[in-house]
Amino acid sequence: MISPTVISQKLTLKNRKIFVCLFITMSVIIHSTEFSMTGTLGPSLSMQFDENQNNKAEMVFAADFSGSLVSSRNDFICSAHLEWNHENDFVWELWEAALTYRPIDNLSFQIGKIIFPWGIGYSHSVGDVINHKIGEQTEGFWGALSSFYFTYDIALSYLLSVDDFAENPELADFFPNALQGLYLSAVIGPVQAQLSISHKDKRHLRPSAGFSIDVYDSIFFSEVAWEYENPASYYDQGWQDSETKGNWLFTGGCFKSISFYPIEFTLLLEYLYYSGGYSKNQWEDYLDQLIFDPITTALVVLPEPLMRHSIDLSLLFSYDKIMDTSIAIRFLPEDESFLLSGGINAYLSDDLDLSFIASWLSGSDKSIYGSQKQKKLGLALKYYF
Amino acid sequence: MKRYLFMIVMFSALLCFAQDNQSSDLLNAFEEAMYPDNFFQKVIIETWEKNTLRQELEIDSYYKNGMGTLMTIESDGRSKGIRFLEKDDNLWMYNPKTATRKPVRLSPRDSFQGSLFSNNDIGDSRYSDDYESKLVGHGNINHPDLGTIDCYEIEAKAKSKDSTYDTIKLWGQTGTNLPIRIQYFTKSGLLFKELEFFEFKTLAGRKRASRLVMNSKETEGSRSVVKILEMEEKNDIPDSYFTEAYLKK
Repeated sequence: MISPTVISQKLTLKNRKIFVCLFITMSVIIHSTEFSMTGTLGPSLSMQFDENQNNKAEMVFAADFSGSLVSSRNDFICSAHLEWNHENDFVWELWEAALTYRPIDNLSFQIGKIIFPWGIGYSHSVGDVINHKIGEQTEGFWGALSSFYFTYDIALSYLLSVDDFAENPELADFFPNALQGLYLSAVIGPVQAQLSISHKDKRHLRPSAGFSIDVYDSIFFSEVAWEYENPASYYDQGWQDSETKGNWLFTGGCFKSISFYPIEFTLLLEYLYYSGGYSKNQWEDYLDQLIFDPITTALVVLPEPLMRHSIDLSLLFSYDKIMDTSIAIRFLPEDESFLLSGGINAYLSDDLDLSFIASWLSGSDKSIYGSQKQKKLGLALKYYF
Repeated sequence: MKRYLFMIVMFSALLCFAQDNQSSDLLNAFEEAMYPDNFFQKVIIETWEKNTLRQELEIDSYYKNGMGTLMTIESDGRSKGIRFLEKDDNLWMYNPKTATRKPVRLSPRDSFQGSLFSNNDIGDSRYSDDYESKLVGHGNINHPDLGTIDCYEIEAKAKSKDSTYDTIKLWGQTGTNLPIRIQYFTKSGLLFKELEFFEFKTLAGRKRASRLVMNSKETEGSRSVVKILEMEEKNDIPDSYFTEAYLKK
């Protein structure tokens, strides 16, 4: 008899993911009544300049797509990023690939790679331990999710993430190591509230609570969490020895949007506090992962939170059929350094954009951002399909 | 004498009440002839300015009575995938391609994506909830598809100052209740838009208009045309479609 451990060793990580995706896709195609796909593709050129003369330029041809197959009781959604760079490397990232099944109206089950909108904060969600943010893109978790709707505005969700198992197939007893979470959310008129708790054996415990209120088209929000362990260790094995324990996290701010066709204007002001703080070494590790995506004129390319305090201010202005512009600043009050980024997106036609984006890190030589002394520029052409 | 006076007052009151009831029944029948209670539809909205086609949008929408409307732009291009949710008199727009990744609330009176339709027209085209109706009278209308037909006229006044229009006048075909024409008036009494119904065919189990033309009375040659490509009565639309969480999926 073949034990589950042997099977898991025979199925490599890559094969398992492909198998799961194929299985889910085939299951849904059989029952699907609607299919839709959308996305973008196009070339981009990015240039990085720093004071150490480590300048570099990179040409990338990238495609992002999201698709869905929908029937009355189930659906399959998928989104991915494909990239071909000037060194002939072909890279692909799967952000989400999840099958949803609804046996009854107020109960749903999801399996696959799932993005679960966790938390109330905008740039940061201090209770979220499952979704992995890369730049402005969210990458889901491998696992299962079940949601029960008491009413359609009050829901309780249970999730089980097996990301650790996916990365470490030798873990025979993966269930005790899997991360579990409970999430209760309620929307009552202009008020949204959420309570959550996540747990993973003895290494991780994080309860959180969040609240937001919509007043005169401005949304004020705050969210607080307490963590038993540095959450970074969950994603990065190298940080498992961190002594950070029992830290508080808080995020709060205001989001304002004004939309009267063809103009849309949004403003976001958000403050983040992390009592444990991040060391400079940890920050430098993150800098390498800092995604510079000239395709997106988004609120952009901001790294993970660092030090203890961080303030974000973002402005977005768009004029339909003409252009949109964005500017974002992240300021670290402790060392007075900042990251400034902005972009202009010109709409050449209904399905073609030309984007220019720039980011600038500044501050004193000993500061987090200032020590990098970097500037980045990017130009991209993007076709919507 | 007092008894006669009392009877006259009572009779007049009953007559008014009966007429109000008749007009609200007619308005309900008019709306039923436009759309079923719960349905899916696929439409194309063309917007013409100075008789030149400026925009074409293909939209899928789900409507569930008492829950709301969920719409998705399906046309290829930058707008593809933008979703709108109308619920509790609020209209939210969610664009998955913008960085804020948060729904934006739209004004019900504002133009829907540059068309002559307001956001409220597209999200919730049922007037019986928000307007007080009165049967004004009957008359003949010469319709290009139906010929000369007898129509009733209903005048609907906004119950609240927050309503999109101050006054609406609706004409429906007597007997069939098929919508023929709707006129929209400002508070000052100015007629600024007129919606006409054409190309009647069987949609979702009964005869309905498949082409709706909204003409601007302010700008000559400006109009928005809705072509209903598909309409299906669907009573199994999950309630979860009408939540913020689903909007952001």
